[in-house]
Amino acid sequence: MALCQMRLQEERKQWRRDHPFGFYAKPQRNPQTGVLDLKIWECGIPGKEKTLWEGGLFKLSVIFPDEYPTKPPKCKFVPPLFHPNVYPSGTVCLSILNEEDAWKPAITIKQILLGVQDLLDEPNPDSPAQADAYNLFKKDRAAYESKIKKIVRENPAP
Amino acid sequence: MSNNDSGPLPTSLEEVEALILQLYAPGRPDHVFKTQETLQKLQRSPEGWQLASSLMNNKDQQIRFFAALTFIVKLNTDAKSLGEQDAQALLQTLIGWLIRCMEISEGALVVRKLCSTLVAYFMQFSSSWERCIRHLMYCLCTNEARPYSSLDEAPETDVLIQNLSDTKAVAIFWIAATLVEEIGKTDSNSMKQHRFHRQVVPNVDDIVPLISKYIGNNPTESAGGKVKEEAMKCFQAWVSYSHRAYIDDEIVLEPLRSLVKPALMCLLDDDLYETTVELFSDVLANYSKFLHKEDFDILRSLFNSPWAQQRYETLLKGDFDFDSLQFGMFMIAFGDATVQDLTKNLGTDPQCEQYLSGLCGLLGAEGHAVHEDKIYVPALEFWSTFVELMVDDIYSEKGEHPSWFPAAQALVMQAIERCWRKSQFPPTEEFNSWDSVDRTSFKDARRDFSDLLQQFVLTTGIPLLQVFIDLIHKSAASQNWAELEASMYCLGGVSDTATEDPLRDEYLDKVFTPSLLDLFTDPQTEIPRQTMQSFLDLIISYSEYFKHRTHALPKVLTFVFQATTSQNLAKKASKALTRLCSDCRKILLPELGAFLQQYSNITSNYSLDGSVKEAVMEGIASIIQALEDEEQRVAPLEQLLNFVEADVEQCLTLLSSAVPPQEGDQYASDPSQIDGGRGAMALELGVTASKCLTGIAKGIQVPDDGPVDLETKDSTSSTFWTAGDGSRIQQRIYSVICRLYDALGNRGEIVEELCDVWRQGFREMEPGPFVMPPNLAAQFFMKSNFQTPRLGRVITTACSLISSRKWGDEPPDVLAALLSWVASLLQILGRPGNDPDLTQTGIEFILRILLKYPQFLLNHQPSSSLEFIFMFALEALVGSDPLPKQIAAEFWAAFVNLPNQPEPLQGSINSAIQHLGPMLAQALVYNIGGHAARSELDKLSEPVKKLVVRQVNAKAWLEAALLDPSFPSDKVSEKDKQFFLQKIINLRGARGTNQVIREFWLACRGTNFAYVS
Repeated sequence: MALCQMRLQEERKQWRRDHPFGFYAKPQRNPQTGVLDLKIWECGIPGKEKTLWEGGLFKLSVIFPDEYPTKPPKCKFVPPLFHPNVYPSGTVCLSILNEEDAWKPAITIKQILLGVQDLLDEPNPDSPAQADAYNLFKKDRAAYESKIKKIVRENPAP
Repeated sequence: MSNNDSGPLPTSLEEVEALILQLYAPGRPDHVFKTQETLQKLQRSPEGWQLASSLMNNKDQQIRFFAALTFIVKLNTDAKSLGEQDAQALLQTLIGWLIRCMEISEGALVVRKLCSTLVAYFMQFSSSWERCIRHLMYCLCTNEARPYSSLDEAPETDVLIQNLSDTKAVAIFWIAATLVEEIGKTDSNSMKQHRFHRQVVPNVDDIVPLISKYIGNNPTESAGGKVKEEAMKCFQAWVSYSHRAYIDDEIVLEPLRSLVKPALMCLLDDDLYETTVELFSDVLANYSKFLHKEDFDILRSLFNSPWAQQRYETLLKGDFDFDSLQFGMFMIAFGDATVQDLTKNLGTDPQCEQYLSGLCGLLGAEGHAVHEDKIYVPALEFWSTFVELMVDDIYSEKGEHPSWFPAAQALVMQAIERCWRKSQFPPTEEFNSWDSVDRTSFKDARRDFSDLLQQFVLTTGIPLLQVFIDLIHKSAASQNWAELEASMYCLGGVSDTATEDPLRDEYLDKVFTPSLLDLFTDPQTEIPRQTMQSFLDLIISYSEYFKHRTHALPKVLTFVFQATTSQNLAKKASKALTRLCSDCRKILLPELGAFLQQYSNITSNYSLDGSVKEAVMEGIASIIQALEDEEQRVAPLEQLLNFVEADVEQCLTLLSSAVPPQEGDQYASDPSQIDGGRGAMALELGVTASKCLTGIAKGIQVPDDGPVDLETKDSTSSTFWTAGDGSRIQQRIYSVICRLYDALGNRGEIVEELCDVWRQGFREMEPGPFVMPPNLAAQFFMKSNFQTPRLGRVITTACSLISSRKWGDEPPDVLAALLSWVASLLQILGRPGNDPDLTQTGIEFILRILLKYPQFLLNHQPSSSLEFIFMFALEALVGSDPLPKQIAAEFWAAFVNLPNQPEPLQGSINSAIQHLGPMLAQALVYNIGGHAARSELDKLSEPVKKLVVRQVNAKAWLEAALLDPSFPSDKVSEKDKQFFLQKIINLRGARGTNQVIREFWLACRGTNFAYVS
């Protein structure tokens, strides 16, 4: 528990000092007490330049377990995002977020968010998480792309 | 060695020299690449050592540079080929070369490369060259490349240093700095392996006196700026390294710390300022433990000196050149490192207050934030940290605020005032002339300020709102739009925190005053878009307020309605409208007629976006929902449908007037391409009309938070909408849906939108205009055929129909029709692999039927069709498409696990399972034996567990499948398989099964597949 908190404090410091352009990430405030809850972060992921996703900003909750950084955090788009690798619940399916796969305790929040940003325009067709986006992506790329454009318009970067 | 790619290797030294000169001369990239390849082959060859030695005395500087490079390549790749003697000889060669360099005043390019070469040597042979710095000093002093073993004969280091010329000192600084920079890059594993820290640390005793000679308390007077700068850079490299040594092994390089005091004085030296200020900013930010208490005292007095005062004022006047900005960063770094002390001593130590005031002042430099003012964002970060600290300590002393709190609050209030100024947008034209990075960063800075406010309000409570309320009044009175915008933005930012406070509404009464509302609704006043937008945001953030205070509502809604007609505000405004109407539906009932009129006005005068129309319709429909009687809802709903139908008519007229496509026209099947833009316009109108229906359907839904009336049971069985007067509405809705589908059903967008309309009805718990009889929905679905785009979506919507709770006990005939429809689609499809989407949704549909009405599935006729369905689901299980496989696994788990049914149904289930069981076991084992992807294993474990628990023959079936020739892996033995089977059976479907299956799968894939590192 203490390790988790210490690491998150450090992550926060590092993020303040240096974070990628257009992103934001901050611990959520507990609505009752107003105290920061370091274990739930509200983040914003901008679409990458020169991709379909450019101009959009997507809200992501990053939820850290007590065992963090031994175990990876869970990343969840709020509201759920139309994307082949995002579960209907909004949870992101990405190898670096999988304890049994590519997660390493050294991975920073910055790396996670950049990884999720990369995933936006480079879906992984081998691990579909929702049928709607996956099937459209596989079957009708033009319709998929026009849908993404619409989603970007609905979630504009401020 | 193969030379196919890069041509023959040169055979003489002259040829090599020519090649090197060619490499560094301008030329075609492909030639350069080829030359480089050839030379690299030479460097890597066993003769590389010799080549380097022959080239190092060449008359051409580029060739000498290449010689040093070649030594580095050899050291990094081939050091092991050198014996102890060879290594010592090489070291003497390199040092001899360095001495020669000093003699001939070699150019910096070559000397630097040679210094890197010596460092590369150290990285390989550190244990036999520990006191490398002292050894180099000795050799350079005596102008002789002496063996390392003779170091004992050397005079004291101090004596050596005295005799070392400035040029030679520079070379030593380069080597010493490069040395620790390279070591610093080593990853922690090889750091442990080579124990570099132990080899490097003794050298600190030699380098510190040399650095001290130039930047110490009594620096050599005659020394030039250049050598001092190199001394400072070397010091910087060592301090940075000492942090690493501390982290890795808790090594403290004490001698270095003695240089801090004199180094601080170098800040006053213009030549050394930039390096020094960067060094101390880094130390303060990352490793402030390195500094002694006395060092902090010096820093404090330094910040109070006229020198600092002058730099500070220059910065505030808008000098954001690198050196000026660095000073600001230095101040902030000191603030960050001492923030705890600064805060706790506020009120007792005037110096602390003074320093914090200085940091507060950094928020008020000249120029617009980000675009011009580069210190604002870092300073804001400091203040955010400061406020967070306050929140942490809010009740630290026996439930009371600590004594320093009032002073800290006063400072933050000053900071807020400055940030409020910095958050004001420049005039639109100016703002738009900034590049996108600056625009985004400016908005980011505003958000950071808003975060700070959200934190700070926790320490002040709701009275903080008054600050912004006053600012709103002042700026509204003077029509200073940028100030007004920023004030509303700040007030909106703290809305979350203020919700609980009972006094909140009273504060807000002072915001949403008639005069402010008049200002925003006055057609004569031209208000910039950003200010309008902030006002909209403010309304949205405090929409709850209008529920309690209705007097402001009509004016606010007028403003919001107007805003829907402005292209930039429409989306936000329509959302605000939906929310306000929904929240205040009861209160707004008297306004319903006016709203319908407003809608009619704006749609006839402006072309609204489809999603805006949808949102407004939803808002109005939610007011209609608040009408007490069903009868009363009919007339206003008819009016809304009139608007929708007008769009449909226009859409159909456009389509029918469009020139029909010619035979063979490449766009014949795409109506949007017909007759120029007409088709596209028609399509857009069609989408809009569908969206509006969805909007109405959402608005008319009974809100979740309404009271649940347990007494009046009849309302659930009301037939008003299906058979009574309300059925008129249902018929009109159904007709709109069908007309749109018949005209544009070959467009995926339309199919999707119409499915959405149906879903809204399925979601309803109570009868309503969109809750239509299931046979109408089924009729609509069955219009689709194999050619329909997004057919998967239609079937998923049919799945929702099954799951929706509108089925009584009466036999749902309509399901039989739907089942036949889906089965026939799957039969046309033939094989699951032909269309994973249809496969997946089709199986999902059958699964839902199975769960709800198993008898329907098992009585499905003809029996050949039923058999086809089962075989189809088996084939999907062994296919390679992930989603069909997952749903097939779910289907089989459910089928095997069906609860006991009355006879004769149970009999047919049993015989089906006896027939299908062996095939199912084989399909599952095929996947578990390595065919499936790792991520699919959990899903596939489910049917296995159900088989084991529910079917007595499971063991025999699984055993047969494991031993079958079709088993996909040869990496496991028969014994392994038996062992696996025994484990699975013993676990009796417990959760551990998943892990056993995972391990077996890994074994089948082969151990080298273990990609978990």
